[in-house]
Formats: sequence, C-alpha cells, structure tokens
Amino acid sequence: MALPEELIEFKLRTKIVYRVGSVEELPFELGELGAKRPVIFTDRGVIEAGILDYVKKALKESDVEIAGVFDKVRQDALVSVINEAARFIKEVEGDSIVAVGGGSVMDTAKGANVLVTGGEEDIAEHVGAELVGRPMLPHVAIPTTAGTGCEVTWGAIIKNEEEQTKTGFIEWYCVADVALLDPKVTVSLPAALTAATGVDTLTHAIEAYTSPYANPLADAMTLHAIRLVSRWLRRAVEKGDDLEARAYMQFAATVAGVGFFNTMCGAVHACAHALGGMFDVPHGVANSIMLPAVMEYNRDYVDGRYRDVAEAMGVDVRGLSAGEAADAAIAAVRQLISELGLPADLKGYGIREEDLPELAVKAMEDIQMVFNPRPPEEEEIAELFRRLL
Amino acid sequence: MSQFWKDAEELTETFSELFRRMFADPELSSKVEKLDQIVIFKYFDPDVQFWFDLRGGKNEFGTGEPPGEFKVRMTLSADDGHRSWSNKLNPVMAIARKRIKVEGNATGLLKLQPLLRKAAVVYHGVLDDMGQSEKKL
Repeated sequence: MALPEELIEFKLRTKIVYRVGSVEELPFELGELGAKRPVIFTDRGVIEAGILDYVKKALKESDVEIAGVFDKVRQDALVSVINEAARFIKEVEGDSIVAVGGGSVMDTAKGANVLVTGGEEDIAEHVGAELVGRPMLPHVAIPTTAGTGCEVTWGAIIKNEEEQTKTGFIEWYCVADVALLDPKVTVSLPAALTAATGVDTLTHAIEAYTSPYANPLADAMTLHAIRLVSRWLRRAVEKGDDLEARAYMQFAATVAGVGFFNTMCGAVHACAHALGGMFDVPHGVANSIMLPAVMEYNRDYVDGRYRDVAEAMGVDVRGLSAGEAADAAIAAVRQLISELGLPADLKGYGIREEDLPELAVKAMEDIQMVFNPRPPEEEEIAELFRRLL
Repeated sequence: MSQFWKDAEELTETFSELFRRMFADPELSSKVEKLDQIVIFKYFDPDVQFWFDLRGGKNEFGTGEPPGEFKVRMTLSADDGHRSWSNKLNPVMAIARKRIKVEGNATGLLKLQPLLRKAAVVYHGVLDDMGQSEKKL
C-alpha cells in the first residue's frame, strides 16, 4: 500500500441508534432535537403494514404532538410530491420531520426540508450543491427498507416527472439528525423488495469501494457492507421475519450509505437513474441488472480491488491472478442476483433500440458517472444497455 | 484579502489570456465545446464573473452577464480559481468541502477534470509570459 497523499475527507452527521424496538426511542430523540410538532412522512405501503401505528404508539405517552401525516409519497421522490409536502409542513406548522419509509420517503422529506428552510417553492429548480447551506428542521429517519442508506446521506435523488429525468442535490444539513434502526419495521417488506433494496446496498458498497475517491475510512464501511450483504441478504429474502438477518441488512445499508456518500458511486447508479427516469425501472432492480455488466466494463480499471470484493463475498481467492479474482467477484455477484430471483436483463420494460441514444445521454449526464473508475464514452454506455435488451 | 491577486483587473487579464490559449488548443477546445451550454465561473475576492458560451461550438467567453441562461455556475474565491487552474485544487473535493458552490448540473464540467493537467501547463506559460512566475504553485 502506498502512502495516501491526497486530501481525505470523511463525513457523517447522523446519530445512529439501533435496537430491536428502537422506534420507542423516538420521543427521546425528538426531545433532544427540541422538536415538538413533527410532520410524519410516509407512504401507503408503510401504513398498510401497520408501521405508522407502531410509530404513533411510540409517541402516544410523550409531549410530542404530531402536526400531520404526509402519506402521498409514491415510487421515487417526485418533484410534484416534494413541492406539495413542503406546502403541507407550512400549513400544519410542523417544526420537525420524521421520515418513516424507504428511499423515496426519506428523499421526499429531505427535499421538502430544503424548500421550507430555503424559502423556495419548486424543488426542480434546486439542482446543485450546498445552495441552502444552513441548518434545517430537525429530522429523524426510520428506514423501513435496508437498501438506500438515505438515512445517513446528505443528498437526494429526485424524479422530474415532466422531463422524465432523475436529478439530485447535495445539502449537508438535509440529512437526518438521527436514524433509528429498528429491524421490526423491515420484517413486512416483501421478498422481492427485500432482494432489490439489498442489491442496492451491495451496489453502493461495490461502486464506492472501487471509486477513484475510495479511501481507507470509507473502505472500512463499504467492504464490511459487502460482507454483511453476502452473508445475510439471502436469509432476509427467504425468511422475512428473521430479525437477525433484517438487523444485519440494516447495518449493511447504513454503513454502505456512509461509505458511498464519502466516495460516490459510478456508472451502475448513473445508468439506474436514467432507467428509472425514462422507464420507471425500480432503482434496486435497475442496479441489479446493471451491476454485473458495469463490473465487467470496469474490470481492468479498479486497481485489483475486485479481488477484495470477491474475498468479502466468500470466494477463496488464493492463487488467483488479479483478472481471475475479478472474474470471480463478477461471478459471485451474478450468482447472488440469480439466487435472489432478480431480473438479469432489461426485457419487459418497453425499452427499444431507438431509445438507447437518449438513455445513454441521460446516464452520461448523471453526476455519478463522474466517479466511475473507467471514464466512459456515450456509445459504450449505449452498448451496455443494448446487450441487456 | 487575496493571496495571489492585486486586483480584479490583473485577474481578468490573466485568466482571459489563459482562456484564449485554451480555446486555441485543439484538444482542449474540442473537449470543452462538447459541453454545448453556457457555463459561469463566478470568482470573488476580487470579484470577476467569467461566462463561457459553448453552445454550437461557439467557444466564446467574456466577463459580466452571460449572453443567455447558464446551465451551471460555479462560485469560488479567485485564489481557489488560481489553485484550480494550477491543478492544485481537486474540484470534486472542493465542492464537498464547500469551497466551490455549484448551481445547476455540473456533471459535464466535472468530467473535464482530467484536462486540468494540460490546462495547468498552459496556465504556467501564461503566468511566465505575463511576468507572474512567482505565482506558480
């Protein structure tokens, strides 16, 4: 190993609180933040699973009064929904946010917080980095999936329905002040969603570990996340009520989130955002389709780091050359995705050959593409998509 | 108080010469023009705003208000501008550390980061020719 000479910066703002039943800590954590009238952000699936009632029960005997419940979040953090949510916070005079849900809910909450704090009305116009730059409403996240890591990331991916694009913003203060990890709120997640969100975590970890901005601090997070996903995701999918598997997948998602937001991701995420923006391919599914293809594309540009990925996934790499170890890592990823029953191609999403140029342009315009270890050309990205049709 | 610049006039003359030479370089200009948009670098201390009109291969630049709507604006100190063109400031890390404020989608611009190595060679030539060799980092 060489002496690291470049500046390394590793950030984490969020206090992470874990236990089985940690949602019961919500009143204490809100009190610590000085919050008395939170707006709860959630979606219909979370409500139907009884998780909102579980959260409300935790607040029942406390001084906290729920200002309102915003439950209009759908797949993805939509511009129109974020704008509406910001108006809702102001209408009900909420003084804080509790986000109960997956990445779409948590990113919607971040977007609304940005608008309320920054005095803006349209999140579509908030594209960039650190445009607000000051503390926002106190914010607690209770992730109900184990995938996005949004509970610890200081940015959000938002979908512009009109332009069929996914863009994002970075705001240090939009991240949750507290993340409550409670495996009880993830046991109702269906197997297919558990699989897809789990592969999202794996993708964060692998892309971050092979990012040009990888560093020893982030490596500690991302490499361990790969180990945890490899060990626990199958079991979480097969036996949804297994709290142990659910807990370790939560840890995996959170540490991968911390890791990847300190190094960023790469072409898998850039392509997944384009697929989600234009064809509504769910993010985790898009990642699972793109991950092995992009790993092959990046194979010779990751400074031998796929060997560590293979090892973290349980492959015996002794005696393998760098190339053989890389191939073993890619094979292990394919094997896991196959066992989880996730799709291996883009068939079934209505994508045609004539859509590929626009799809490739949108992927190339995604900020994550900047961080891919192999600088991609537009036609190469189009070819990646083409092979998966 | 700027560490490198006497005043706005010196900065404007120096960076203008750099940009003229960059646009005259076939490799640099061909890659930059692919951005096909208006880009702004807003420097402060001293305050000078440069715009780049890269639409349709125009490859024009100037100071003050741009000739159309910008797609990305980066705001940074004039000293960090000097460090950046000297290839001594990583733009991605500078954004993360809030030394550069970004408005708009900076993806295309950040993809050009590898060009900073060649731009720095050009910039050093400009500093030498303009009697500012002591500024070289």
